[in-house]
Amino acid sequence: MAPAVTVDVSDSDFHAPSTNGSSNATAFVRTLLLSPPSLSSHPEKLDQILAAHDRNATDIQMLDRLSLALVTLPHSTYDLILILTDADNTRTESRKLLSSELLSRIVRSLKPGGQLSSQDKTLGAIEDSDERREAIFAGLILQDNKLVKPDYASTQSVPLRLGKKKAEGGAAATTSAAGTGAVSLNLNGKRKNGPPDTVQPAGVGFVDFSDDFDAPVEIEDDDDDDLIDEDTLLSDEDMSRPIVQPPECRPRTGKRRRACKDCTCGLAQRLEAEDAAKRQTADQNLAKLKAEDLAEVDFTVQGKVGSCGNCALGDAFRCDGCPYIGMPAFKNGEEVRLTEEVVQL
Amino acid sequence: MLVVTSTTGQGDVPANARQFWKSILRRKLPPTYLSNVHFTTFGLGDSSYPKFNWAARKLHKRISQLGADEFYPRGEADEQHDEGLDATFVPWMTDIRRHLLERYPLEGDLEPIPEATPIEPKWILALRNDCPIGQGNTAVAEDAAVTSSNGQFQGNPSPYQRTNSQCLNVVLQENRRLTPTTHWQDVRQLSFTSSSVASYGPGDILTIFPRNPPQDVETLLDLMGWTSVADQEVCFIRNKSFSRYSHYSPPSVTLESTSSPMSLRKILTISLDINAIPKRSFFAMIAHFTDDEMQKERLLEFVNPEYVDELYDYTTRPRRSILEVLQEFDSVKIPWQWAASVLPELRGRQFSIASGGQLKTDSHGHVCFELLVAIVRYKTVIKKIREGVCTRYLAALPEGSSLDVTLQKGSLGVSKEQTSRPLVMIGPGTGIAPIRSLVWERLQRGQQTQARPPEPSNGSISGKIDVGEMALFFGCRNKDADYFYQEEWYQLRKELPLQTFTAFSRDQKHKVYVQDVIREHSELVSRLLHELEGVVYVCGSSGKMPKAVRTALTEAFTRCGKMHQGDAEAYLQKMEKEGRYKQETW
Repeated sequence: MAPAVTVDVSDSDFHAPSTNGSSNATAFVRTLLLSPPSLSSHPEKLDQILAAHDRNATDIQMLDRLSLALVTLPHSTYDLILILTDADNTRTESRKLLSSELLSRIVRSLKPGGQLSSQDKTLGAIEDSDERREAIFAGLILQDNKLVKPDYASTQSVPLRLGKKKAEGGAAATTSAAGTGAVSLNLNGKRKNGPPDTVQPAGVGFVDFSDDFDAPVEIEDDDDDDLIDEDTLLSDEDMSRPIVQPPECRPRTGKRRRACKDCTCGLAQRLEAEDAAKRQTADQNLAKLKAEDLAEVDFTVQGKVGSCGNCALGDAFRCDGCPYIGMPAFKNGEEVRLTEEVVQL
Repeated sequence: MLVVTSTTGQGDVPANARQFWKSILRRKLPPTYLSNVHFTTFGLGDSSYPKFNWAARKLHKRISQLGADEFYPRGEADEQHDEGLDATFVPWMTDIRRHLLERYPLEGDLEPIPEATPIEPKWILALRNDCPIGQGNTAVAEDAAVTSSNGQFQGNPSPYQRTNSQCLNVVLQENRRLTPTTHWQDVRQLSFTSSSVASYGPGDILTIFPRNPPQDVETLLDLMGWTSVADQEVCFIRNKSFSRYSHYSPPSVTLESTSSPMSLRKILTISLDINAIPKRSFFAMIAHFTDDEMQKERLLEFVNPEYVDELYDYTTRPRRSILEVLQEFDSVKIPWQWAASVLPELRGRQFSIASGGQLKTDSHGHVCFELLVAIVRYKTVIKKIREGVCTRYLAALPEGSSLDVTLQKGSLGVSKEQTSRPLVMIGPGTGIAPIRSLVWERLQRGQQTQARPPEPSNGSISGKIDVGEMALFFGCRNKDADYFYQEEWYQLRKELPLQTFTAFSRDQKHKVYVQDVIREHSELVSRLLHELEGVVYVCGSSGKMPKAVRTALTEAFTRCGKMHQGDAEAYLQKMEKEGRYKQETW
């Protein structure tokens, strides 16, 4: 049940050591302990259970934080996920928290072949229980009376070539999402699991996909009438789902507030006014230059240059208060001649 | 399989994905068809649209249904976010790369390609004279010398030749300014005629392909040191490293079916957007083409996701162009052979057609297109004034000019059967264009199908064509400056059951917008849309306006339709589902 190969996932949230995931595979049981809230006030019980597992290969998360999505779990990482019993040795709390949503998230973080169980071995143990049913809906199967994530990679595949005309006869012509389970249509007999074999031209990361899929099913022009209605794909829940946020925010260095495109709070006006004022000041400085009729822009003269000395290099190098903002770059010693609109160099 | 997609029209999959989308929508595909496929999707959307990222969500759902396994959670980006699409895309992309390397570790001693390595383009430009016979390929379709190993590929398939779009040659008949010169905004009426056969309906779109000003092209040629090859004939050849990938076609560099030779100058004028705002990827590319350490360093800073604010302040905020950036980073020398891969494509700009009904044909029986175009000119912190690439081209285009355009079906879905439906049309500013088309179209259909009633009978408005009742809400700044087609509405109101309501935002001290006027007429709106199950069209600028209109409509239903707010919102959603709420905003 525990898979023989391992890839150790080194994740910023966790402190598991990383190993070289290729040929020298080691049997390595990654465990996740899910702790109900009451255990946080009983650290001694936590320590007890932790002692029974390999410190280096065990992660622990709070079940309630997980259910509130304050924490995200890594994908396909754990061989074993254990729901801990409450402080009073029951499973009242965890039963309440284990919604179908939470269960599917937990299942996702199980490795194929990994197991989900509880400390007191009651999880899904009773036949016909709601809990067992929910676990199965979440994608687990029963193997030797244990709840396990199916491992499709190791199942025998019956190569059924999806030929042009056979499609109607062979497969169930339904759009139900429930998998047929037993027979997986292996679309390419020689394909093995993992990234496709490629011959990469030297120095270029370009992959040839022509052998990944079977011969394409020809699109016949009279296929028009047999398409499913795309408007039925999204349920009301799908449509109103809020924007999917990335799991972790990247660090912000010196972030400045920027106005929304259709700003209603006045920030956009303020920023626009700032830009206009900047332009005005810069124009005044240019007018000064014009008035003094310089043949050359002399950088040693006070007031003609900003404090950083990068004015000539262009806006990309100018600092915030540069008097030359908005002007193209120019070379030292070049004549600065001003026309009505555009600075000519 | 990673699918990155935007959403278009009314929550639709983009045009160039339609064939793929159709193919996976087929009912006969078994639910295990993609069972060996690991996939995820990323949606590029705009939350000011009600069907935010629907295309990505539908694709994701369907691919899942076909048995593929989601190996990483899908992501969505929002144009309305502070930092735009990059805000969500960059962290998603960074994490997925890490995840891919862990889950599918590279075999043996393969290493990921280092960031600093430039990825070579598949197709590069070469002088015609240097091309061995049969290897070069111009983008012009007539070159039959090129065939791939499976004999399929001949010449360049234009990306614009898809279903729903038609290429046309048109002649500019009229280029007339509608707003007074005292008004700050220059809005034009442009009329084109074509001798080809073409038909169109309200909401349909004309795509105009702008040209860059010759002086800008000259500046770039000079800056890059390309002048010596600028006017020689060039063609595309496959980059040596890619000779085995014969099924990839070269960049679609020209739409013209002219037989005149293709030169670098021509390509820079008609096919490459040298005045576009550079993207992050552009900075990454050009960093390879400079030896100046200081400039290179600064370019790479702009590429760094940590400094997305600086990139924004340097490029998007002031609307700095590629040409201006290259002028500042003057040590950058792009090899001309790579020009078509480094510089972005000059895309056509879409305009909703403003003509309809009898306006679609001129006195000679030729098909006519009228466009309402607001010329884009504004100031940013950059001294040189900003101009829209296409509107700048159109503003200067002399009458009598001939140009190639494409005609595309719009997404308003106005059908003949709907002529009796009541309509609420909201089109402030240039949004009035597709609405004007709609009204003229309705007038013509009404005239064709029904005889005018000789005398007023109960229930029908005297002397008017018997079509569905219409309420038009128009907004602009000043009645005297930009109340487009004012005289036309006056005439049309006499012939059709049409009422017009206007909002002139700057004609009085306090601002008045279309949404305010909609509220004032809640009863009418509620009767037309709720009671009589009419259709509402919202056209114009995206962002604030459609949202405000939606709120106003909800309020109208709440107040006069005897609904609670929650029900009113649900009713609007129901209208959307039924195709009675159409939005075309830009």
